[in-house]
Amino acid sequence: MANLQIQELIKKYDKVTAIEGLNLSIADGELVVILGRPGAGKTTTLKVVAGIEPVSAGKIYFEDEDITHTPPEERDVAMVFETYALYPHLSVFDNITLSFKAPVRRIKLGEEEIQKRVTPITEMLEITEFLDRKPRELSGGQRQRVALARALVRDPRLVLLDEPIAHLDARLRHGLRPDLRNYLKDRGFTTLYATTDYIEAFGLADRVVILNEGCVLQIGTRDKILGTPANEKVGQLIGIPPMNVIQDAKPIVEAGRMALEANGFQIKIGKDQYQMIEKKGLAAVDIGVYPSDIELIEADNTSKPTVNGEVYVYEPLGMKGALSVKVGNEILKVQISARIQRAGAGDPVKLYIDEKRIHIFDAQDGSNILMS
Amino acid sequence: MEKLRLENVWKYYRGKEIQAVKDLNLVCEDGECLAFLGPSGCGKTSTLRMIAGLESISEGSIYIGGKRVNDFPPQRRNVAMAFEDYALYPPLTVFENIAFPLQAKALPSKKIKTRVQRVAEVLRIADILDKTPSELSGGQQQRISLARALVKEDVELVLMDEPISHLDTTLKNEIRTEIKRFHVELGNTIVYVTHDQLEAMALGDKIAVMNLGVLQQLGTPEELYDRPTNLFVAGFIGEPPMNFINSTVFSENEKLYLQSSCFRLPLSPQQAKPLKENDIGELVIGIRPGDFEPSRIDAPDFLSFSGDVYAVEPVGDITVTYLSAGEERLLMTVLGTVDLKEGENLVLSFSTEHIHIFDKSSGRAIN
Repeated sequence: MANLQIQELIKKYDKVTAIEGLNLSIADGELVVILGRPGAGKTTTLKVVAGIEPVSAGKIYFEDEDITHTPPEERDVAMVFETYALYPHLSVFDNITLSFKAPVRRIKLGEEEIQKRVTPITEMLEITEFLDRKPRELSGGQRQRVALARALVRDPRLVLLDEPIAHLDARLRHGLRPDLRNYLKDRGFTTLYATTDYIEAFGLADRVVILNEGCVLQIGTRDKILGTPANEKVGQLIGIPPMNVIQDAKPIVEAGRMALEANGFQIKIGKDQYQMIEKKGLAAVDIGVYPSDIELIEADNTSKPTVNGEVYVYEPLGMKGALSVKVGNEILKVQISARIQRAGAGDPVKLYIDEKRIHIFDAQDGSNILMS
Repeated sequence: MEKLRLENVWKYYRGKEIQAVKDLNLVCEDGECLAFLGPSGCGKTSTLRMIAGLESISEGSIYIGGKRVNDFPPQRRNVAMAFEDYALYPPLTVFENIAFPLQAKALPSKKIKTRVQRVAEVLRIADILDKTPSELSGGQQQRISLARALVKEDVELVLMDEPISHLDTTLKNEIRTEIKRFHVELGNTIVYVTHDQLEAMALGDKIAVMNLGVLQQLGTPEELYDRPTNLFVAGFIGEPPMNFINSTVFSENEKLYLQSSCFRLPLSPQQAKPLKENDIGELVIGIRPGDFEPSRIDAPDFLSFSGDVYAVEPVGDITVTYLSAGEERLLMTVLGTVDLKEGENLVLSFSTEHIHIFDKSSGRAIN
């Protein structure tokens, strides 16, 4: 059953189009995460669904009811926005439980019932000890958790979360993820969640929506998106560092070997990949390869087809490092183990790029050649 | 050769009520990139502004190129600056904005052009040199401000305050690499302020970790990652962050063990020595998420124990796994993908050489 349905949604601010023809259908109890850069249209999407921004065109249905023009207070939506508006004169507890006391509330709850609802959420978010404090006595990260608790403590039909844990310190941000997911799933909330962080998106979501400049690039499960990114821009949102994109490579056949000729070097490809490019009539393609899918070959002799490059720069990143290698006229990032012997700028290195680990995109529009 | 020296530097605000920087001492060598890293309010920006001459030094001395600069106005300190809020000249074109510091030095115009072109190409703004700042996005303006700081080659120091924190991830990654390459190639001395540990690790030859106005540790990225001096540094460097496991010391047949709710860890004589010398009750064992192996390893120096997997997140380049073991909840990261199921009981291992031991009450590392 599709619980929330967004059809051909368009949102314009003056001349700027923030969302261009968004179609999205979310099942009852499903957790969908919108992943995109700042300015991609994530917040706008949530605001339109919440009803605090009118649509320019398109329809929104909730439980088969057209809510496109329903005022926000009648939509029974819980929201957490990045700017969490807490009431400064109320305690944390009163901020969280305010909605139970509001006159428009459909069901009034007794003290005991309220407490029963508040405890699990405040414990999960580790704010139980702050319940008597005022918002101004809290740090930014603590306030953000209070705002999240306030939204989740109700029993809303739809939950909209806009980067709700972005400002928490790393320990809490990572530690909280599975608990937050379980909380939302166990209560059967239908949730739309926005983030710029790919780990958060893939860690939390049933399905991920990749939004770029107001357009949906891909909607799918984690495995689907990681396995077959629909567009090179999808790959560039994923990974630390993100996917390398080598632009404008030409398919060639040399002595029966098929390869993609990029700017100053070649990457071997398989027959099926070559045929696919040929079938699509593409003169040039872009090659996408994740830094973790490029192998640094240290042995002098190898049977693997390697490309030669030189070290551009090395950046240690903790448990791993990013080695930038200049190959032809491209700079490729390669993920290496941090405990590897460090190479200096200008040192020659050999890389192996497995043909099965590359993604091939139409050089014109960036779409994956495996997607029609 | 030393380029920058801070000696007993303090920064007060409101009389002495707020102490933003407390007795800071450090040296940055010629050609080094020194990154100041810490959460907001740690004193990193105050420090940078004192080096730049934008804030007075409440107490202590700052030396640049061997000269005490406390009484020098900013322009006499011969530093280039790129800040989070990029002050560009609105009526000038991008080219003119970047060339401005060079023109002020009356360099020949051909030389100016070559230098501006080069830095503009590196920062990917070569195609917008004719535009004016008002026509550009925030990210582009940020890069112009960065270009203007990097274009000057004969300055003592380049000072940067969160210059790429507003950029989107892809661009941030690219520009970070280019700043580093620029630094490696030109050998300029950079003082860089950031709250992002990944940025500090990637760029800094040395990192000064600060918290509440106090320098916590100064070291190379590897030193901070492998040998943090206290719980703050251990928790701030590395993401996902280091696991902290509560434990106590326990002795049996002259041998020392660390007892936690997850495992009992025999200590090497070397690890045991400082514990015997100091009477420490409660300890914290630190293990990085990447230092766990998702299998039993029967080797000396390895310890295996079991935990229940309660969440697995294969997010592409890494797999993040959450386990509960004893009273602890632990995070394990494995490069690539690993076949684990939620609810399964897993035997995992770690090298006892890769653990960190801290005194719980003082937070200090014991070694």
